[in-house]
Amino acid sequence: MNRVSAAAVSLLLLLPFAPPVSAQDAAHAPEPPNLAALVQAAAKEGTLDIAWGDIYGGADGARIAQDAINKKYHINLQIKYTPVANGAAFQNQVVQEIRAGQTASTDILFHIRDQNQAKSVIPVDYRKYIPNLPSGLMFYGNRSVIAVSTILAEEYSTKDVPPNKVPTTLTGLLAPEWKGKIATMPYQGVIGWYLGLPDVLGKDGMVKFYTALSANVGGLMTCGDSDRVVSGEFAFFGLDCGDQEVRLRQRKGEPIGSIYPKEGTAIYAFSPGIPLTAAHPNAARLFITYLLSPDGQKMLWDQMGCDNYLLPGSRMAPIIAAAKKKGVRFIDIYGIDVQHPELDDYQRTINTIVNQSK
Amino acid sequence: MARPFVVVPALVTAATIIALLAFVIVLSFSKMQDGMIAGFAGLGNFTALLSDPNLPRMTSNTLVFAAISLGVSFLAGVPLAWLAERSDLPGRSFIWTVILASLVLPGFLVGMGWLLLAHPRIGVLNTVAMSAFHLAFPPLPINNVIGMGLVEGLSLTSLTFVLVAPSLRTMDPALEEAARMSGASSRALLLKVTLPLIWPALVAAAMYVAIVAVGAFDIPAVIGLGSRVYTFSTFMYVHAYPADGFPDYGTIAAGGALMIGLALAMTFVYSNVLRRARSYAVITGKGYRPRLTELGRWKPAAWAFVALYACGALVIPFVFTLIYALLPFAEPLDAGVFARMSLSNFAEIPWNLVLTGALHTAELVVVVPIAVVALSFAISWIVVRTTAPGRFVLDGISFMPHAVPSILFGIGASLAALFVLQHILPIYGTVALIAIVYTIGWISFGTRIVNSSLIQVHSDLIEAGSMSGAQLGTVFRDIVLPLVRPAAIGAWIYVVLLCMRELTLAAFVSTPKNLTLPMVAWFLWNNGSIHEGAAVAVIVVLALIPLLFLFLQFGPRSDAMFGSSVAER
Repeated sequence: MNRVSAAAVSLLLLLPFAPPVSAQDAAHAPEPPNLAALVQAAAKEGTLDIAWGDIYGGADGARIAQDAINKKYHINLQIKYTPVANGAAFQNQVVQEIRAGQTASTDILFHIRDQNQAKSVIPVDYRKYIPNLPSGLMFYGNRSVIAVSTILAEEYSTKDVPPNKVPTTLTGLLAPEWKGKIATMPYQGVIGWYLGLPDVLGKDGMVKFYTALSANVGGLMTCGDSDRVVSGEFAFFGLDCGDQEVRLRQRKGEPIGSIYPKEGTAIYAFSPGIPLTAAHPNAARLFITYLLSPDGQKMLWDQMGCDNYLLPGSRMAPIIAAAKKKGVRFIDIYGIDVQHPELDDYQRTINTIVNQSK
Repeated sequence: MARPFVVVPALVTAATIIALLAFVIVLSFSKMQDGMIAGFAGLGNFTALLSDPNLPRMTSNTLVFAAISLGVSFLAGVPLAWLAERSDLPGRSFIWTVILASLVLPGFLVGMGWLLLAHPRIGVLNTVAMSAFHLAFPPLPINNVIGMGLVEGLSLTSLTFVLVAPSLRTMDPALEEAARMSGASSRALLLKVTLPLIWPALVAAAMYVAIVAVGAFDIPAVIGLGSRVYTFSTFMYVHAYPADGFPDYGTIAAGGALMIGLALAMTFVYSNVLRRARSYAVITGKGYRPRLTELGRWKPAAWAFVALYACGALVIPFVFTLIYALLPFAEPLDAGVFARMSLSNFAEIPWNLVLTGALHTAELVVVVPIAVVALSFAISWIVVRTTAPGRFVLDGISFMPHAVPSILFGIGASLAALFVLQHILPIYGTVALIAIVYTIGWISFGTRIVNSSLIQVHSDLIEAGSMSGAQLGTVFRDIVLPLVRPAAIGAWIYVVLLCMRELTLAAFVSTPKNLTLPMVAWFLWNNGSIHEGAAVAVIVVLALIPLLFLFLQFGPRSDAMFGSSVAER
């Protein structure tokens, strides 16, 4: 290898050692006034960096979105998707990056969980880009917008749980015959906090339920890891992060089902936001606009297994209506922390209970 | 005397270690609010740590886990090293191949393989045993602290091997010869000559392996975390990655500060060993000929032992990972499982991400091993071969990254890059940050290896060189380097392989911008894309196999690596 080649190879190898680009100030950049201006601004940015798990269709969803956006608007936007192992923890990492003034590792926080997290993202009025968008989809001062709705359910193995023994309530999981066969998630508090609402179980009922459930739990697993229910490692998993995982697996013929507990079943939402220090805020706006469009909603239904039940043409809406007819009581819980700040403590309480060491 | 080209890198390395540890200690007394430093907390973080309800069980779990891991790794690793270096076992170079191959397999895959084999509900061993013997309970459940320790011990055997083998290789056989001539039995020879001669290496290896076991993350995470069997690392992980708020860095740092105290104690013990080490100097430049022990009728048993280890550490984990990579979804293994296998998971891998991770890993492989070996030589030279004041302090500092669990080290470096260095050295989210953390994190390993090797180079040789008028550089190049080359090569190879499989450190300094290949596999696996993660891991292993053979075939290798005397050259 001659010196020039050696230098070129060295440069190539050392290129990623270069420091990252400095943080942009997405918070103070002008917001494109309409869709045409947004498309132009996104095309100028050229790239969108996103990082999450299987949400919004994961890698396939990102690829489909890229193709659809580029085809529709005749641009060449590159969407770079990176899977992350622990979505909730990753979002905390990004929030820290934002507070430290660093460029955020992702141009979109996939879910603005509460009002505290909303402080780290920019407000966007998506009605500028989708004129008929219901205003009720935007929360926390337009800092998050509901992209998809999901139903917090209990997953079960249809191989290991006979039809006549499928519990219809949460307390049904406490039966001795299921001891050691139930999995829950280490961050169950994020999901189960709504059980502490006065019209569901109340705080004492919630603590009592999770204490008893913890004694029956055989292990912990994360959302999206439902292979472990399918394989027979666990008979139940829940509450899960939404029934979309079961729906996707049922389409493939896997032996898994969902239970909507009669004590009260939560309709949850995944609501993206754009970090204050996003490198490509306009590409992020365009991506979220796509998710809210009919094409985006179809992609979400196909790839993620759910869509936004508040948007016209939703496939989730009939599912929710049918369950209501069967007596399931649904509670819309996204954004509820504003009226019930005590739920924040309930998260920690539940997590402490379910993570008790063996 | 140490020259500036030795002193400066050694001091810069030590200063970096101190700075990162100091940051952990500062954090341990800092009040954290919303994940940010918000003032002085006094002893609040320590109180919070000690009042954690999971602490007592976690502590006992960690001690049992580390003890079992250490025991298994020594019971397997030391005999394997002896067979490879000091026996006449035919084809014994294959042991090195097995060891290097086992180093390649990421720990979490070893854990997964064994979990799938001995899981209480879906593991083949237990389901077959329960069916065959009509048992109501699984006879061999692995999701407990004993099972975790056994698997970790298997995984750490290769590390023990790498730490012990150089000393066995460079040990003066004249002493053994003298014992034989005096009528010593093989047992007496082993207990009274061989083991005492490699005593420094054994102590160093035991301390290192114990610390690695205490800080081990991937196997406890795969096997234990889901069953709520916490060890120190998974306990810290839970605090570092909570889902219901910001990371509890204060409590983590308090745990880290306590570990630093423990590290200081261990460093003191090790330093005492080192001070007495000159009595173990055995390479004298004369009569240095290796003599291999004849195994005779024990050869089949020796090969059976090697095969058993290869099966446990390599075959089972890899085969089960491969099965997962080929199956459409997880299921109990039965006779029809082969019919359901396909390559579809490989088609669904995010290849652009894999290639990016591969490039980042390649950069680390080029930079980190050389940095570790070079800096280790600088530090070890000062510690072992000079009388510089404070040299044992330098050695103690270089040992600290071992003692501080790498989780804390990664967190310290990441937060320092994020909050302290962002305007001075903007390396947050770069491969450079990973390279620095890896180099610092593994400098202890490098210095332990080089220390052990330099100890055995008798000062007579260096003095003879100096008396002949040779400059320090010449002495180092012509006398020291050839003698310690096996150790340097061993350290370099091991760090190359660490770069390719490391997860724990990477997990705490990674962002989507600087992912390494193992992180890609882990992200996919832990994200629920188990089969795609397994497929990436299989690709990594398959790609490494030719590399391993290149090392063995063309590397500076066989005579140096497989037991012949470097003095013969």
